[in-house]
Amino acid sequence: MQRVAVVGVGQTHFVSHRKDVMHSELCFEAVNSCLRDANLSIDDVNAIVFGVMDGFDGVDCLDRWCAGAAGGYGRPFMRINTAGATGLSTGIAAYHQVASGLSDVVLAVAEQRVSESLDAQSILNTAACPIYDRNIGGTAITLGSLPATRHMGLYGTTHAQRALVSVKNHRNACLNPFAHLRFEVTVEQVLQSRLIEWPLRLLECCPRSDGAVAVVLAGEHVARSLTDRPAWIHGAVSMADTFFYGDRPDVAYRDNLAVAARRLYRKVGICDPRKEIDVAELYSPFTSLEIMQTEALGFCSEGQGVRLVEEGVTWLEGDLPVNPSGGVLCTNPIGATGLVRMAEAALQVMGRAGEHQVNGVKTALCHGLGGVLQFQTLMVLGAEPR
Amino acid sequence: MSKMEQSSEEESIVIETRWNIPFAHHAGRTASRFFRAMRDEQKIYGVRCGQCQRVLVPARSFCEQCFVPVQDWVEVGPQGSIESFAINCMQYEGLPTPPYVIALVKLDGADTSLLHWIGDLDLSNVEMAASRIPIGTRVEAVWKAKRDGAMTDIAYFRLL
Ligand SMILES: [Zn+2]
Repeated sequence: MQRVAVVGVGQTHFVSHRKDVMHSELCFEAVNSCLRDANLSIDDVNAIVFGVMDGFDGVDCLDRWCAGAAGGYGRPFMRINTAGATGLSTGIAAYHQVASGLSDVVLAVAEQRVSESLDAQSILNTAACPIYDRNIGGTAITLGSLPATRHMGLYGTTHAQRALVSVKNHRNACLNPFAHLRFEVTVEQVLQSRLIEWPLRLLECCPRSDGAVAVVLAGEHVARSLTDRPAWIHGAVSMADTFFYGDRPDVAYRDNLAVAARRLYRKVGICDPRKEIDVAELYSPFTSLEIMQTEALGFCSEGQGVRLVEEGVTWLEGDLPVNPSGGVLCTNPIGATGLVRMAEAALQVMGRAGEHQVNGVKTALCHGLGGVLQFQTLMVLGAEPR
Repeated sequence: MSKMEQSSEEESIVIETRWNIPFAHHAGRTASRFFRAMRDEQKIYGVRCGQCQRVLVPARSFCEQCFVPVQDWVEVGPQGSIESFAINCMQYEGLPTPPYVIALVKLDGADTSLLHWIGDLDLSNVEMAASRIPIGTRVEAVWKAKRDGAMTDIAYFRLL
C-alpha cells in the first residue's frame, strides 16, 4: 500500500444542454482541464477509470465511445457503474489502483449527458425491477419523497424547514462558477414552486445536467513532486444494500449510510464527525435526503437534521458546511455527480475552492448515492497525509 | 470557460435516434408462484427466512442478508399499514395519470413493505389528501376483477 493524494481536478461548466460538443468531447475537455490543473501530460498517466450511468445518453457501452477522449488510447482502461454512485465509485476504484502500488498516476473520469434523453424518466423506469416494481410507477423523485413523508410523520419536519436546505444550497451555487442552477431562492419561493411529488416541490429537486469531471490521483512520491498542497485520501468505504425499496427497515433513516459512515470513521480514526470533519459534499438530490444524510453521518442525532440547517451549522459560514458547492440540488450530471463531490472535497482541502472555499479545511468528507438508496460510497480527504 | 463553450451559438447539427426494443423478462419459479397465487387465489404470499426469520414480500428465493435460500411460504395481508407515501403530480411517459398516491405498505405478517398505490382517495386538494393518510394508516388490498399475474392484480389499497 502507498499513500494516495488528489493532485488535480477538472470540471466542465454544468448546464442543461451542451450543444457545442458531442458526448466524447465533454470527456476530453474535463481531462485536459484536470491535467492542466495538475501540471501533468497524458503520458504521465498510467491508467484510466471511467464512470457513466446507463441509458440517459441513448448509447450502450459508453466506455467504447469515451475511452479515447478520456485518455485511454494505449493505456489500461476500465468502466465503473453503480447508478448515481458511479462517480465516487470511479474515484474509489482509481484510489485502490494507486494505493496498491501497481500504478502511480491514475485518472478518474466521469460524465453524463442527461439532456440527450428527451424523456429521462423513461430511462429511469427501466431501472426498476421489471418483475415486481416497474408498473407501479415510482419515479426518480420517489426516492426523495417517500423518506421525506416518513421524516415528517416521525419527527414533525415541516415543508418550510426542508425549504431552508434549498435556500442554503442555491445560495452556495451562486458562488460556484461550475454549478448549473445559479440563482438565489427564498423559503417562500420554494414553498410556492410547482408541486412535483408531494411533499417535494420543484425547488427541492435537482436539475438534469450535462457535464464531465476528471480527478487525477497520485502515489506519495509523485504527489509530493507535483504540489505542496495535495489532498490526501485518508480512506474510502463503499457498500451495496438491497434492490427492494420496501426491504429498508425505515425509509426515514439512512441506516445503510450510517453503517458505511461508522466503517469509514473507524478506518480513518474519526471519533466525533461533527467536530473532526470541516466540510462535507453529499449526494443530496432532494432537500429531504440532505437532512437525513447529515443524521446518518453522525453530524447530529436521528431526526435532528433540520436543526443543523436552521441553526446555520451546515451553511457556508457554519461549523460544518454541507454542500458548499451548491451540491447535487443545483447540479446533477448523474453518473458524474459522485466524482464532482470528490473533486469539490479535494478543492476544499487544497484551499482552491474559490468563492465557496470554507475557512481552514483540514478534513473533508464526500459521498455518493446510487440506486433507490442502494449504493453508498464515502471518502475522507485531508490536508495532511495519514 | 473554454473557447468552445463560448461558440455555442454556432449551429449544432442534431442526429435523432430512438430506443424501442421489446424485451421478455422471465419471472422464474418463485415469482411465478407468487403471481399465480395473486391471480388464481387473490392471496399475497411472502417467504420466511429460516435464519433471520424475516418474512420477505414479495416472495423471493433467497435472503440476501443471510445469503441463504428461502422456501417457507407464508400468507400475508391483505390488510396492512402505510409506512410512507408520496403523491406524484407529474405526467411521465409510461407511468399512471397523475395525481396518484404511491406508498410503502407493510402487510400484516410481513417484515418488508410493498410498493403500491393508495386508491379511493379524493386528490383534488393534494395537501388535504396527504393529511388524511398519516403514517400507520390501515389499508386493505382491492383486487382487480380480471387478473393476469402481475403486481397490478392488486388494483390499489383502500383505506379501512
Ligand atoms: Zn435472512
